[in-house]
Parts: sequence; C-alpha cells; structure tokens
Amino acid sequence: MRVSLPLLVSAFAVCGVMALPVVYLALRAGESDSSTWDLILRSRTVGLGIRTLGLAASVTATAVAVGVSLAWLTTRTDVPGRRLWAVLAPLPLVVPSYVGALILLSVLSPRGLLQELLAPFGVDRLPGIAGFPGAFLTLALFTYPYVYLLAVAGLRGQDPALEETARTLGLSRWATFRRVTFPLLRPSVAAGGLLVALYTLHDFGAVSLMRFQTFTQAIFLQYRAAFDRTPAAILSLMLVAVALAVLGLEHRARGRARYYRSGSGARRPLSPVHLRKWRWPCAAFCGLVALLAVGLPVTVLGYWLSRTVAAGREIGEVGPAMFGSLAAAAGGAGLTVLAATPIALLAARHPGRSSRLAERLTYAGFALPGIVVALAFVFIGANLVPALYQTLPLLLVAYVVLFLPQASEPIRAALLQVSPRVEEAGRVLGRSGAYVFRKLVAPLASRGAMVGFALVSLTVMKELPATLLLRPTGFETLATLVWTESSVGRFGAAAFPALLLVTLSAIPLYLLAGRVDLQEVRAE
Amino acid sequence: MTPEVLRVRGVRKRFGATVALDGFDLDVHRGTVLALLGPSGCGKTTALRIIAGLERPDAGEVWVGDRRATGPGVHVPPERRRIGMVFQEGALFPHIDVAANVGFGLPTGSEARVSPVLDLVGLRGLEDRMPHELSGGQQQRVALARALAPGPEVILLDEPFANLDASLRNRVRGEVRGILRDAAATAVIVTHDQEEALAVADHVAVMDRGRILQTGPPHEVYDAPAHREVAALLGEANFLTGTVREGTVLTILGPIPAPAAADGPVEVMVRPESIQVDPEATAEATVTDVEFYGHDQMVAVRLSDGSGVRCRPLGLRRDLVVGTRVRLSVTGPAHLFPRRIGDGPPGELEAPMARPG
Repeated sequence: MRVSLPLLVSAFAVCGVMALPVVYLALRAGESDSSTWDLILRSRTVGLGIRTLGLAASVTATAVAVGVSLAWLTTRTDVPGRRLWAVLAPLPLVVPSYVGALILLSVLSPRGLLQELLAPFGVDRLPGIAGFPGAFLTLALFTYPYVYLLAVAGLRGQDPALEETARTLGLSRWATFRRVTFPLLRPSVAAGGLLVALYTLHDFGAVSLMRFQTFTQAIFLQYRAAFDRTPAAILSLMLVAVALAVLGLEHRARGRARYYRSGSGARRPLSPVHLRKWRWPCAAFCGLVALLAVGLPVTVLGYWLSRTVAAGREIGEVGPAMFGSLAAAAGGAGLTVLAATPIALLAARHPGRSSRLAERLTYAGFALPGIVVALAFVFIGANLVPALYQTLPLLLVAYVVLFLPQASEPIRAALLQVSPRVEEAGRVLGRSGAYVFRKLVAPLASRGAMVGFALVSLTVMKELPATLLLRPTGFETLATLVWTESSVGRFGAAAFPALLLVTLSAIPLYLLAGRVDLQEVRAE
Repeated sequence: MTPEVLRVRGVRKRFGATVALDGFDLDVHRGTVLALLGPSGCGKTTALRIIAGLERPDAGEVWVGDRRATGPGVHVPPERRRIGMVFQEGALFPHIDVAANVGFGLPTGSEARVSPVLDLVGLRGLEDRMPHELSGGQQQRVALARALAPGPEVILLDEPFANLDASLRNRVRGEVRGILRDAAATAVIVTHDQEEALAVADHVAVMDRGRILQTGPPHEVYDAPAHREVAALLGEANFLTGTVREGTVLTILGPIPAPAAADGPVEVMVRPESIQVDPEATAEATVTDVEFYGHDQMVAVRLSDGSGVRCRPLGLRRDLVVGTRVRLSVTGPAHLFPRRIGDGPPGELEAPMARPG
C-alpha cells in the first residue's frame, strides 16, 4: 500500500510541532553571550544539579525498594491481607505531587495538624518538613506505584519453571529470589525506576510547595524574576540533558539478556512463600505504606473539607476552576487524539524508517519536563505569534506536545489488532479499499482513540506547570487553584478542589484499570 | 538387578475434584532410563513434580536412595533431594550465560566442573552464549547439562522434546539418550509419545488415569501388553474378535495359533506390521487407503464384514493402491485378551490370558 500524501503531510506537521520547543530553546540558548553562561556556570547551578540528581536518586531508590517489596509480598507470599494490599497499593497514583505536598505540609508543617494534636502535650512547634525531607517523602510516597505495577506484571509473567529449576538445583527460597527472581525482574524494575526518576526530575508542584530548589523550580523562578529569559532556556536544556541521560541509564540497566516466558504449557501457579514468623511484620509494612499513601490523603482532605464546612465558610469558588479543568481536559485530549491519529496510522500501516522517526519524535514529550515545554511556548507565543500568547489554543498545543504518546499508543495498538492480511482478505473478497477502511480500520481506530482520549484528559487534569505558565489571564483550573491556595498555606481552601481533582481523575482511572483486572481474574 | 534409586509407593493427589494420581507406584533402578508414558492429563507431570518435591501428595511415599523424601509428616524440600529436573521448555535462566546456567547448582568454587559437563553434552565453546542465542536443541542440552552437573541421584525430564520440531526431535532424542548413558545417569522421562518412549528408555511404564498399568522393557510392553489400554497407547493395534478352539484362534483373518489358550471367545490384538498383504483378484478385502511413509506405507483394508484393519507391510509396495483386492494373513505375533461379554463397567481392566506361541 502506498502512503497517501495528506497522511504524510499531516504526520510530519505534527512532528514539526513536537520538535518546536527543543529547537526553539536551543536557538535561544545559542544567542546568549558569555555573561549569561557565567551566570549559569556559577556554583549555584552546580548545587542545583546536585540537589536535583540527589532527589531523583533517593526517590527512585526508595520507590524501587517499596514497590518491589510490596509487589513480591502481594503476589508471592501468604502475607495476611494480601488482596487488600493489592487493591490499595496502586491507588496513590491518582494523587498529583502538589496535592501530596499539600497533604504532608498541612499535617507536618511547624503549626500543622500534627502540632494541633500534640498541643495539649505542650508541643507548640514542630521542626517542619519543608525542603528535602518534604520533597523526598512526597515524591516517594506517590510514585512508588509505578514500580509496584510493573514489578507485579513482571512477577506474574515469569516462568514458574525457572524458580522450580533453581530449587531442584539446590537453592533455598531466599537464594532463588536473589539469584533468579530478582535478576529476572530487573527490566521491569528499571522501567518503573525510569518512570519515577523522570517524574521526579520533571516535578514542579511538590518541590515548589516544599521550597526545595531543583531545576524545575529554578527555571520557574528565573522565568518569573528575570527580564532576560535566556538563563531559563539554558537551565531547561540542562534539565532535558539530564532526563536523556537517565533514559540512557535505564537502557543500559536492561542488560543483554532477553526476557520472555517460553513455551505455552499449562500455567501452574507457584505455591506461595510461607513467611512464618515474618508474616505479621510484613503485614505491618504493607499497612504502614497504605496508611501513609492512601489513608493519610483521604483523612486529611476529608478533615479539611469538614472543618471548612463546619466553620460555615464557603468551600471556595470551585465552579470556574472545575469548568476550566474540564475544558482544558476535553480540549487538550481532543486535540491530542486528532494529532495522534496520522502518527498512529503511519506507524501501524506503513512501518518504515520515516514512520519510525515520526514515532520517536512523538516520544519527545516523554523526556520533556512540563515546565520546559511551557517555557518554550511562552517564548514562542511572546515573540513569534503574539496573537496566540496566553490563549487557550497555545495551552492546548503544549498539551499535545506533552501527552501525544498517551493517545497515539492506544490507537496504534488497536490498529495492529487487524493484520494487513485481514485487510487484504477484504480486498480479495471484492471490497474497495475505502470500504475496508470504513468497516474495519475506522471502528478499531476509534476504539483506540477513545482510550487515548480518556488517558490524556486524566493527565491534562492533573498537569500543573504548563497550565500555570500558559493559561489565559483569569483562567483557573482545579490544579492551579490547589497550587495557588496551598502555596500561601491556605490548606482549607485547597482541600476541596484537591479532593475534587483526585476524585475526578481517580474514578475513570479505576474503571479503565478495573476492566483490565477483571479480565485477568477471569482468565485465571 | 541393581537396587532401586527411586521408589514411589501409593501416591495419591487430587486437585479439587480431579484425581491426578490414584495409587501411583514406581521403581527406577540405578543407571537405567525409565519412560513414563501416558495420554495427556493422566497425571504424569504431577507424578514427576511430587518426586521432585515441587508438589506435596495427599498420601503415599517417595524414597530417593535409602532416604524417605516424602511420606506422612515428611517433606524434604526440592533443594535437598538430589533430584535434577529438565522442564519441557528447558527453562534456562535467560539472564545468565551458558556456563553460569550449567554451574548454577554447583557450590561456589567448583566452576571447574562446568567444562567436563559441557564436553559431555557436546557444547564446549558455547560457554559465553546467552540462552536466546542457542538453537532449541542446544537449549535442551544445556538444560540437561545443568541438571547433570551437581551429580543428582535421579534426573527427571518432563516432555523434554515436545517443544522441538519433528526433524530436530529425533536427533536431540538420540543425543540425550547418549548423554544419559555416558553419564551413567538414572533418569525418568515423561512423554506422551509412544515412539519416543520405546526408543529412549530401558523400561517403559505405561500410565493412565493416575496409575501405572504396566512396566517392563520396551519390547515386552509392546508385544505383550497387559491391558487393551496399554496396547492402544503403544502404537497402532488391530483388535479382532475370535474364538479359541484346540490351540487355535479363529478370526476373520484366518486361524492364528494360540497353544496355551483355553477354549472360548477372545479378543486378538494384531500389530499392523504382523499382517501380510497379498493382492488377489478374487479376494473379498479391499484397500481403502494408502499412507505413504517413504520407506514403507500404512495400508487400510476393508474386510468382507465391513470392518477395517490397518496393515504395515515391509518395504515399498507399489502393487497396493486404493481398490486393490487383497488377501490378509497374520504372520507375526498376536496377543489374546479375554472378550468382554455384555456391557461391563467402562474402563474395566482385565488381565490377559496367555501369549500365543
């Protein structure tokens, strides 16, 4: 089949937009004179790099430790309450980092809820957690599910015969885990760790609320404070470089082994590991994580809400913000799906070098922090197309750059369900190409597009930095409302929009994930 | 006879409502290869896993050497049984190379023992390959080397050739047979392929519905099956009805000598290769199908009473085509079973009466 020209043109137009931010930032940085570089290369920047990498490394290490232990405990052992922990463990994923930060701050800041509780005992001030401890705790608590989910999938996909072979070769349970199970899990753990590391590098909400200066926060401050925005552009490029380095690291961590479950024989579930005297300590560990990552957010947000209502105060002007969130989500997701369709069609129907390149480019958004994309579009809007500056369309384009793969992947996957052979069979049966496309390809693509729309709109709803920088004046979303209220310490006012945001994004996510889970359960 | 290295007594195992093993007994002698043959779902793999200690039976005992590995209140974990296992797909550890796979079960510091084992399986020089860089046959040999390296008492092989394609299977089977013999290993090979069982093993144990029906050298279980089920599981068999009278069975294929048999109705098992086929224009039997195998052929013949038999005359027989009228006569051994009269309970097994002379 030949590639139609309109398809090719529209696909490469999308690619052009995807490449725009980085190209523009590079040009902008290239213009800078030596004095700007002096500014950048001052020791402050070195400190910035150390802090950013240190945070990313410690968060990733903690998330891996927590995620892998939970995954192993819930899939392979007889830990009490394993079903409950398996349900609770992925939930923190729906809590955006800035909401997490707001929750921890409102409890643990010097005069937070914990201090109020302890006041009768003469505690009138707590040390507080602003800075590294707060940023670390927030990000680790709400990102470990990435590792958990991938580790669970990895553990379930392992060939049970491998562990059994190790046992017949004389290895104890623990030695088997150390020498077989964990090494085989490494690619899943590396992929999960990558997601956590990138999330941490990209995070703007938690670090800025916790006042811990990393690249993203420095970029934001530079952008706000300085008239000359070139330093912000250079900092952005440095952050992109760090993100790319992390991607490379993950690639190396995969090692040279290939991982697959060979054979198609009947699956025998492995008999669970009996923890014996460790059963209750392990259950306590699961309980502690669930308490901090699920119980605490629910309790704190609920508490703030009831307190605000009880005090007779308005629960806040959430109407416009909620409308803004829904509008941004629908608009952003719609535009992203539209842009993703030619890319997905090209990748699924015409695999080749150019379509691979197009696909790779769409993943740019994955490595690009929201704040960097936002900054690039601020420049572009302000200098090149002033008519678009601080308008909704420009914000929506930024969403496209950030979230395109989330839409193109489901569409492509749906298209790949129909092999080209099936299409050819349709043609041989005497149907025109257009007929086959309409009857076969289009319905499938639209199913994928719906999934993509759902995923992107959920993500847009939680997105903070790009929305913050690019929104039209006076345009408020739940995310920006939570951020502005909590950055000035008005946790009560932030709680309701935060709760709304979590609920709005959690319910569809639960439905999406629930369907997958149910199918798995039935298959077992 | 050499002493038993492995003894299994009265093992029972059920999974929910399904009975996988129902009084399973097995003896394996030192240095011999035993094939455990049975249709899929008969409990072979479960038996193997109980012997390896990967599964616990509901009742029964497993003895490895002089030691009771499984029994009431006894369960030696798999890592302390000195039993090696080769899984259907090889189950090589994909994250480590060939040498590390083979040395996996060896105590640290005894890496020197890897090379001789690799020599044994003919894979010297492939130490640094990763499992996915090996062919299917090589993977299976590495799996065998890995199981042999720690010097186990018994090696269990679970359908080790099932994942190989037909052309490779015969070769790998021969190689494995040779390796096991060179290593003087004691082995149990689970298979559902009768040809494989007969070719590879010193002893064949035929099993069905959770218990052993017959154990013996390949030629014995083939020629003198203890049950009709065993005969049907081991290659093709024609079953004819007949009546014994004064040392001879009268069948539709003519009289067959049966000197030791008592008079009465019997069922006669005749292997296809024991039937001679001669074209004869006036005969009443007709060739209905010919399956050409290259070196010989299977010929399906319809008899005068409408029933069919399958014959496998030696060599190429161009004279036999569909429609040829033929005369059949039994030349090789036949084996008698008492005829089942009336409708006995299904699956009822009866002992054979006698072997014809």
